[in-house]
Amino acid sequence: MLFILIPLIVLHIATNYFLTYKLVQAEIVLRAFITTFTAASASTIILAILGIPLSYILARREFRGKSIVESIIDIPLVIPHAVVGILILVAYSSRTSIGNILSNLGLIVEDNFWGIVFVMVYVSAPLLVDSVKDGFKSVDPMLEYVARTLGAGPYRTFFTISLPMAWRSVVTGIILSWARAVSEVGALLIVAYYPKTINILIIEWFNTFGLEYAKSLTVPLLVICIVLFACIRYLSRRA
Amino acid sequence: MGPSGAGKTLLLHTIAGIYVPSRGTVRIGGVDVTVFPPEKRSVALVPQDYALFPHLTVFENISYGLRTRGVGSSEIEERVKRISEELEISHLLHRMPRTLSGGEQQRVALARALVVEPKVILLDEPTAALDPALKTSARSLLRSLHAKHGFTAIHVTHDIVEAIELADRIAFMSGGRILQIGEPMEILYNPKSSEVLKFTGEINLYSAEIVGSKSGCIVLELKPSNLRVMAAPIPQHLDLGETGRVHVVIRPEDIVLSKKPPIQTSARNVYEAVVENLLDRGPIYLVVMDVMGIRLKSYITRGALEDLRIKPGDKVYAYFKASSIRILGVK
Repeated sequence: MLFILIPLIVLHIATNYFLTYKLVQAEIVLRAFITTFTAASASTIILAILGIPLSYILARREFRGKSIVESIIDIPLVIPHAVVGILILVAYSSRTSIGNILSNLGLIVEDNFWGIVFVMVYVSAPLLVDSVKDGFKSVDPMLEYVARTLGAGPYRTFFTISLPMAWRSVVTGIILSWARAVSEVGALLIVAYYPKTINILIIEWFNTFGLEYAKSLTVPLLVICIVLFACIRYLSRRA
Repeated sequence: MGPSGAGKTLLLHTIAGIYVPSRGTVRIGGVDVTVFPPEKRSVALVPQDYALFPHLTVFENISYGLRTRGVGSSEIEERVKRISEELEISHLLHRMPRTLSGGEQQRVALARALVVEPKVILLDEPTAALDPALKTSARSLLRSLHAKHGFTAIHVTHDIVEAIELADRIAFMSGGRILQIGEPMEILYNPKSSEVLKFTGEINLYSAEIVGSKSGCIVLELKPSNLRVMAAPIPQHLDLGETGRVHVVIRPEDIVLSKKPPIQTSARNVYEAVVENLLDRGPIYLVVMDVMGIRLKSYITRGALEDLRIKPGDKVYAYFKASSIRILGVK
């Protein structure tokens, strides 16, 4: 426990907060934060729209190949980040046939905002789907059946019974996948170095300006991550 | 009715539309609803654990079916108010389901089902989760609701006495099949298979005649002997006709045995009986006795049997309360 806590305390003591204050006002830093958070939010919204219905199906239906689908969803958990970067580049860069179609739609991957979103969706999908799926599994199907006999169709039942009852897991899944998206750096180094996300900026400054600058940049990111973590703990404890 | 694992709940869920049968049809009021989804069938389900929506208040639970039907909010208020007054749960409307007792939950589940005025109401062992004292009042509640609202109820139970008391017709299920359908007396007096007999054979069933009343109880004479028993006053809903002849049922578990005459008991009926037979029923024993030519059956635990050291031919005292006698009326 101390092993994990000590660096957090030391960073707090060793940081030049005056420098941090000045840095967060610099345009390049501000833009890196905005890029990171908008990309992470976009990836989480895409995941929520696609992932919540998929989670519901995985929690409720039995079909052939279900375990294969579940395994595929979890693959990003075990792939090294650099490999994810290569995979995205190989499959979706504009030189490939799929990437060609995507870039015609404006979804260019390499060194582009959408490349960042693609990487983030890829790495955070399992966190959202697994968490939300567990939430739906914990809702007694009999509640849904009773709602149906009371005249609610499948969609109404989903939105008035299943989703509100699983909302803690849904919120936890959304926060986890957002945090995972924010923390991604390895695959981004390969797919989309530009526009610079905050993690890439930290690495770049560490390499060029040294620890002092990198340190000052990590503090605001750390604060945001810890606040999110506290939110998750609060929500899961109430559940 | 039928033993657990007979397929009663599955049949109920098939009628509700939760399962689609691979063969056969489900008809409600002559309409084939086999392929209809549950929301188009006009059935209301009251599951065994009541399945109240835990994230909604009692009011929101009861009004759920009205809101899905697009009923206006003033009418919702009115109808929820009416049904909750009838079920005596008006004071619970703002509460969350997890704060309710078992009996209160049952009333809320019934209100939620009744308020939409379904053609059929499906009750899955509605009294199973209640403690014994509440069971009796729950049954009379069901009886009076049924008399007032006139819905068709399909009531699943594994309790033969509950079935006899409440049903117009009983379907006896075992092993996924319906073995016999008929009026309660038909099932009781004319069981068509050994499975049905196993269920009906162990309850104490007699025809009897009302011969008078004494200190708040009525006096019955069990036929064909003239053994007199004291029973609690007849509930008003029973139509006895003019003959004074009734059927009575006593549950074997309501009869207590002892070797010595009971000194302190509130039981109004105490008899000397001769043990005829002891039958092993797994964790319990069925004791078959003779009282003045009337056969009386009682369950006792293995431990009680060892304590009492009962064997066939022994004399024992059998006693039961006046309220243990269920009067069924003549149908």
